[in-house]
Amino acid sequence: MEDSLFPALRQAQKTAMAETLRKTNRLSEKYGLSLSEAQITGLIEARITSLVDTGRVETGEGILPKLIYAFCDSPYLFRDEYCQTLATLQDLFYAFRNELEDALADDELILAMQRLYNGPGQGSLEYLENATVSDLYRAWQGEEEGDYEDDD
Amino acid sequence: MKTMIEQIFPDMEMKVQEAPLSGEDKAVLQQKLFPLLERQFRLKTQGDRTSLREEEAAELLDSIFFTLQFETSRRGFPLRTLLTADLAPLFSAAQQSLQQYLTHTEQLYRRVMAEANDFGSISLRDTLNGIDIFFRKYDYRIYAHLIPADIDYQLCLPVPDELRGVVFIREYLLRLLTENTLLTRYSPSRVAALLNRFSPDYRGLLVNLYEPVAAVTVGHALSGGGETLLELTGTQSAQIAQRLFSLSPAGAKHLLASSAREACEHLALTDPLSVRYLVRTAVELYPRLTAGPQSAAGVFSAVGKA
Repeated sequence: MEDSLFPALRQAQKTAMAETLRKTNRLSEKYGLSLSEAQITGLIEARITSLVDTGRVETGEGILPKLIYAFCDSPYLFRDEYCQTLATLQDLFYAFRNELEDALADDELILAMQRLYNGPGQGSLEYLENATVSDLYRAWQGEEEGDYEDDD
Repeated sequence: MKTMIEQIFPDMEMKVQEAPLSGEDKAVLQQKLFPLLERQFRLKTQGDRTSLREEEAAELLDSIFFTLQFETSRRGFPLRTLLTADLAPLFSAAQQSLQQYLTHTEQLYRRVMAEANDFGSISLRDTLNGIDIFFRKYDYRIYAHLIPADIDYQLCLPVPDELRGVVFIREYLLRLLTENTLLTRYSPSRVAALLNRFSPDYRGLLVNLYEPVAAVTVGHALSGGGETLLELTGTQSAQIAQRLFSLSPAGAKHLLASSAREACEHLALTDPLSVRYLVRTAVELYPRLTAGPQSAAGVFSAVGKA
């Protein structure tokens, strides 16, 4: 039954996800960032593709709102690239999830990504794409080691 | 008389035989399963993660479906009840029933451990010890359909593949107890002697203990009695085969079945499960007897067959 259930589940989540993403604009607008309706639709479609590509199933609001809240205050994030960056971060998140074999919680993984992106990566998605599992672990543990200053 | 567990949970095996849902029905059911999947998802991830690998999600879904199927079967409802029922309360009730079922099954296990004679069979001993691990590892809340145990020992009449989770274990234990009940009708030394004739290495091999005993039991009934001896000669075995081969296959199977019932009477095996089990085993002897001219001596572990 799961063969048809998971695609159906992903489709059924679209409406709720769109509403959640609209709400994230309230926060991101403070940093000059927002998503248009077309971009919201595009991100939701990109989410489905990303989940299918990584063989994952997601419930609830999905990871995008958390990524937005974590990255919207980044000094390296600009209006023109906002939507595309979110799509890439979303892809990377699910790919890292598989690579880490779900060892870290969502919030922990996002923290690691945020630290790499804002820290040594200086806003480079390519840097983040090349991050290894041990890079992610080190970044996540960075708070204790004091290697990463920008945690929020 | 039915045991407590049979009164509370009538024959689960019978209920798995039901027409499958149509594609349209499945689509309706899918929509209704979403909230349960999300709930189980949260339980599994403890809220730490919003996504799972498809394989993990499929396991959760399998467990949900198994749990709901368990409850509809227990209540005697058809599976399509799920299409119209409010699934959340049904699922909660199903989990409570499963928990109760698990408790009863563990009691059954303790009984098997107390009563079963393994006659030195390593696979039976290991399997029974493995089932103890099942009760520690089984998670009826999230993975109700799984069987976290190594079941090596082969029953004479295997549990149907459709049965899963604790339902499988309960059925396995019931069948094992039924097999053991026949063995307890005989002197352990006679059973051991028969097993040695059947297979001198039976202790180390995956040999079912019931099957040779059941065969000789039915053989004695076909020979006119003397079951307690648990010993047939090669001549007796050949005569039994000859008698069966003089009949049509259907007639021979009928005779085997009636002989099994007769043997149960002689041995005071009155519980319906034991009778049904021996009858089915007896009928399944027929194709083995027809396999070759010397088959009867092997099937009945005849004395001096060599």
